[in-house]
Amino acid sequence: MTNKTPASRVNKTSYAHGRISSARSRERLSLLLWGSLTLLFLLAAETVWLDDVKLFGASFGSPGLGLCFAMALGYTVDREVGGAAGLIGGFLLDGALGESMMLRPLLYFLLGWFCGVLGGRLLAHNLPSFIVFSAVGAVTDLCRAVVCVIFASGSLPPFSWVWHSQAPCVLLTVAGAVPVYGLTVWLVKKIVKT
Amino acid sequence: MKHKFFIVCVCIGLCAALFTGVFAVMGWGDLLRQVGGGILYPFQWTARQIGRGFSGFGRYFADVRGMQDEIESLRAENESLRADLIDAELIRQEDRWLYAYLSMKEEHDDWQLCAASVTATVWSDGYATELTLNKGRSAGIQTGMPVVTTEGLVGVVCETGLAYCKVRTILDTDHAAGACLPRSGEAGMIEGSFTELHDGKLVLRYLDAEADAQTGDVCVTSGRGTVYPYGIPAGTVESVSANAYTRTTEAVIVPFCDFSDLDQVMILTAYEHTTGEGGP
Repeated sequence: MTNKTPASRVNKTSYAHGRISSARSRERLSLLLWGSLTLLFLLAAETVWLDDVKLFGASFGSPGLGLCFAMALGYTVDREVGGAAGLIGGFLLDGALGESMMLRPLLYFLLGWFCGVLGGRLLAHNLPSFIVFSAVGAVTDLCRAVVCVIFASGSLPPFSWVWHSQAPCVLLTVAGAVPVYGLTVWLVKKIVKT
Repeated sequence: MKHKFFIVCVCIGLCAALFTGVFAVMGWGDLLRQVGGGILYPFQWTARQIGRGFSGFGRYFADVRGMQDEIESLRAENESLRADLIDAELIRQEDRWLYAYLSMKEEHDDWQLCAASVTATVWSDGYATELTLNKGRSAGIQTGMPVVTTEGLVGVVCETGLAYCKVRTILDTDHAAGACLPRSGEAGMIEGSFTELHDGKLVLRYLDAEADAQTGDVCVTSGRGTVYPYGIPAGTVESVSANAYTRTTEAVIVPFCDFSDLDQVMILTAYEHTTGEGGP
């Protein structure tokens, strides 16, 4: 006795697969649209409103909201989305800030990608573990800033510059990761249903 | 598929880094930056406008305290300026007064004048009959010195203290001084009168029975006696009448000086005593 699937059942299954695939495509499109807008909004906020955060008279620089968003997308959706967001966000941010060498696209892509790869494997999928990832990302971004200075000036930047100007940015990025993570989770829950 | 995506993206990232680095070295660093900056620029502009709107809105409330402080400081400044304005007005009046006295001094170059302010007044029917001035013996003021204003004769110093003196005005019934009418040369004595005091006037007495005195004649001090020099204007003749009992002519004099409003006077501390050509 051969086990044959009835034609009606095959049709139903393929129909269901088609519906799911179509829904996912719409979700991807919607995620692309809203994610891009959110990314642009965060980059604008980073470069305009929060370009020089001052607390108690001390300058803390600017939080890496674009980096946090790319990592959060990789962390909550998947590595491809995180990587793409990082690539685009890094390119736009370097363009807006007028960096002489665009290292951010590559770095943000890698961070968004590996956040998606490692998220849930090394640590549980929750806010504290994302803060750890964002701290790593912020320190990596600090290293990028040092490399850029070396490229621009041909010498190592003074330690005081790293300590007083860049280290506060790491703290600010970690602090900014919390609302960005919340925003990303809210956005993904609104869009991704399947 | 996913590895392909990864490789493509890494290549793009590497190319961006390399090209911008090479372009920067070659001096074409703006090419890629302009693309990235151009895409983000509208969003930055919007964010900047929103930020300005919020900062302006917040500044409105943040500045309320500052505005209140500014109002307080402006109010204090206004009070100060108002006080300065009053001072300036007083100085202007004093300036005008001193200028008038300077003219008087130029007219009588033998006069030594001492400016004084009225600190107290004895009133009789609304007119000053005795004044207290703020200058006394310490300023060289002595009893018997004439007191004048730019308008005319005021009276004579009748009492002196170290830092004050009292002046009997020509309206006082105890006051008498030699006077004459320069137009006709008729001479008599001006005295305070109970009957004329309520109108702020005085009487020129002891004119001859046929004296040539007319309404409107100017009456000045005659210089006879030891108190007043010749020529201090006292007033104008308002009316002339004959006194049947003494067989003299009397004239009612309206003084030049306003005895209802005196605040600054001059004490004549020294002068050359003359009787004048018009004196009899």
